[in-house]
Amino acid sequence: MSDKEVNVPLTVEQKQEVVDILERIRAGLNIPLDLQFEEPAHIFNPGVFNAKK
Amino acid sequence: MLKNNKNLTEQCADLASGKETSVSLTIKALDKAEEYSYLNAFVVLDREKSLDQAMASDKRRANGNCLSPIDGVPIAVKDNYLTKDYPTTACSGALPLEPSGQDATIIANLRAAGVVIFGKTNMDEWAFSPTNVNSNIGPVLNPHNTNHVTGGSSGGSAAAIASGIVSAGLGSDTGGSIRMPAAACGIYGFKPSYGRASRHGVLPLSWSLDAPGPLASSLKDIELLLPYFLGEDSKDLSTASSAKFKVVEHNEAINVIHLTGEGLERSDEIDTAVKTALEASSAVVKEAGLSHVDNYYEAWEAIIFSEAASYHQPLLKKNPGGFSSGLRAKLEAGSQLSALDVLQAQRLRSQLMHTFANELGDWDIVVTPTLPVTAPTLNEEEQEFGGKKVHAHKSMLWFCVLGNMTGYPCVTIPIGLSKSGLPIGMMLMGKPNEDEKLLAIAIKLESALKKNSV
Repeated sequence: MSDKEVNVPLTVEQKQEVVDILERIRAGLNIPLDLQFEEPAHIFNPGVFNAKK
Repeated sequence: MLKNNKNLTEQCADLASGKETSVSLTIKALDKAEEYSYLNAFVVLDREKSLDQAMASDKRRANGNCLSPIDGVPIAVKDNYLTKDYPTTACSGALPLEPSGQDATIIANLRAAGVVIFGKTNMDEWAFSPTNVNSNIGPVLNPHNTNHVTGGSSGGSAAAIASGIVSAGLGSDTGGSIRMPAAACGIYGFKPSYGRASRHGVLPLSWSLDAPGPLASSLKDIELLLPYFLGEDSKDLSTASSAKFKVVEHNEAINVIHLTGEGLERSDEIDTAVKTALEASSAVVKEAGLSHVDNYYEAWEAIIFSEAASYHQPLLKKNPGGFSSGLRAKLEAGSQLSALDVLQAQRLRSQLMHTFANELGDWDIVVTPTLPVTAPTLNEEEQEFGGKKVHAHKSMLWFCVLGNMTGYPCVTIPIGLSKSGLPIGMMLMGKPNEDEKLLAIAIKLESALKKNSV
């Protein structure tokens, strides 16, 4: 496969789908968080990136 | 399962007693694969390669050099696991169809145990859909009713097991992709804790949510397979603290939190089935609600969309036509999420984990239905349950995403059939890294359920 970037514009339907997805997700993220329970960003295994192999 | 097909445990016993050979098991599997080819469960299946492995296994056994209890058993592999002898396509038109020349860690573990790698199974394109309708080779059909989906994205493995072609298979789970098809096809599926099973060589969908795991015909089958999934792998640093699998027993009472209420709706039929199963299970059951479920779902979407967009960015720029129209739109949306969106999602994730760890009281397992309603038909876009109309994709993911957002281990077990003859599954969620305890509890609970349901 060529390394060249290919420009294929999104169709009208795809553009609308992108808008719908973003609206849906952002609406869901827009709630107040309880800062009392804040955890480190890498929540599952915070030390994983420091592991020496 | 559909018929009285032998499970993995029984197949191993038949091999050990000489009642079957690996070749005879493999020929039966190949014949059944042909019989059920209309299910579209396999991307590729090579008779010669399967039989070569089976003959090698029989030779080892005859010489007293059996590699493991599962030596010689045919096992199906989801087509996002790298396999040195088969191409790996992730059922996408964007990947070259050539054997990768390398094995995923889990495949290497299974080969070292003598398993017959029995072909590659159909899946949703890049594992990014929950019905197994969106595959470049067409949908997988549900063996219980071919008008219905199997669930995805590990639908090919689930259909191959439910129809009795094989007794076990491999899947991967980012929002329920092991559990949803297992439940929809009436079999068992186990999603390990995040960081317990190596993802090396399993094509990523969303690296902080992905968990490879087994689908099988019984919980004892899962017990036989987990040693090849769990444990530290230097090629996947998230497994740095992963202990090797060890069988444990759970002899105490089982404390269950049954999650119900707003955001956790399910059909009346599914609700009755789960409550009946819990009553028969002899467990101590308390009900609890969970607030902000819809928000946690969107946080899951923000994480999976953004991580998938990041992973696919190079291929998307070079070969946009290699992705289906719907998947391309998802990946474009993921690439337009802001850093703020993704960080907000991660904070919601932390809040959900805190809630599970500290606000549900004492529990050994959290229980929900695996799916809120039985599997949709192939063309069904919306499903109605609990007074809600929900897109069929979201209804499949309804409960399962909680397991990926928390990273907790989950198992789905079949608990019966609906009036229309479709399977119903119940999901059990354990505490992080207590995969062995979860399995022991599931075995005990199912045993009581079977005994008390007679």
